[in-house]
Amino acid sequence: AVVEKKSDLPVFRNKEKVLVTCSRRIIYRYRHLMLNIVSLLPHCKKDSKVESKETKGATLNELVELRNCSYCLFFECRKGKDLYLWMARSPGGPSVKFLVNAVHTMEELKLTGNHLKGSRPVLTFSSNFNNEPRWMLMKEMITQIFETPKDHRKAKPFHDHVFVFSIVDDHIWFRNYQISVPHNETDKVDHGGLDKMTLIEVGPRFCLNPIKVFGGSFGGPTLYENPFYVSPNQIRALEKRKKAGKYAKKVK
Amino acid sequence: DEEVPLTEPSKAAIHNKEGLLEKLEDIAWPENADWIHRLTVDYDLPADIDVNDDLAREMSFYTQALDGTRQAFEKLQAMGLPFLRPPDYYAEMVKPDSHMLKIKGKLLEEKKKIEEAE
Repeated sequence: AVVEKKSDLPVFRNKEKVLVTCSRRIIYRYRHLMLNIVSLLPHCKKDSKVESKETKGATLNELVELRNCSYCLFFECRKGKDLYLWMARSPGGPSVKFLVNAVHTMEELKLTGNHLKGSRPVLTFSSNFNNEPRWMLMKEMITQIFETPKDHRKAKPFHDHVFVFSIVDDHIWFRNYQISVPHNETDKVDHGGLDKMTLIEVGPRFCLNPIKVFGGSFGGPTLYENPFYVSPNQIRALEKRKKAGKYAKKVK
Repeated sequence: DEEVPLTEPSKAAIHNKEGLLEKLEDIAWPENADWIHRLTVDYDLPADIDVNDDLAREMSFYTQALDGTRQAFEKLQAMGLPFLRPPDYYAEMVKPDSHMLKIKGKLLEEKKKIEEAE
């Protein structure tokens, strides 16, 4: 017997494509992070660097359209030390701007895991993503960006790695682990095998501090501003001022 | 790399909750997008994680990943879908062999150092 379709909606297919690019004069560490992300997203397209200036939003939106994508990850490096990450849905928005901290790339030798290129990750979210509208929005965007579309031509039919998105201290922490299950002689996994499951970290690692959420793609009305955010420039200026004060006291 | 957050939240900060929810509705996948398209699992974090305690923080991430994978695999198993890579399935890996060799070399070197120290 043929099972009737449950709803009138057409069958859903995930067709999200992500454009990944960075700004000019990005430092190698952050460029490696970007390349790591590219290697994790078989449904992404990488483009050449974009100048980080006021009109970058328009340029990027155009690029996203040209490359037939629905999302953009833009790694913006400023002053050769600060990394900002833009997550934008294009053309209609929204977009989120993050400050990226605690970056470790996959090249680091202490992260010893490895997994298939293109296998679809399991996404785990800490449940505090469901507490606030801004986190709920980011969770949906992250899911659509980071989950490899089912039946994508570069995807593999097994699941051997897991992503962690965890909100601790109002920052989103990212981890990527290999799932390692000891093989039984028969290869059919029963629960005995799954109980011995261990995880090995593959990398990369980073931590995202949300700065702003915009209604449009790379701009538009501001929907959320992080009330606790201080830019790295302000922090550096403050430190300099402190040092200056010390010297003045000594002279007196 | 040090980050100093404001202790007092700035009062002028915009927080348009309705706008955020509207956008969420705009971009959300349709209702008939099954779990198999998302592969997402939620995990209740312990309430008091000290971010500055590296070990405790990493442990909580590890537990989240492990717990999430268990839940996801149970679902996949219930759906009768294969999810584990058979041992004879070889394909391109995310880290190339040359990189894995370097990692192996480093591990062996560390092992040697420990043995020498003993």
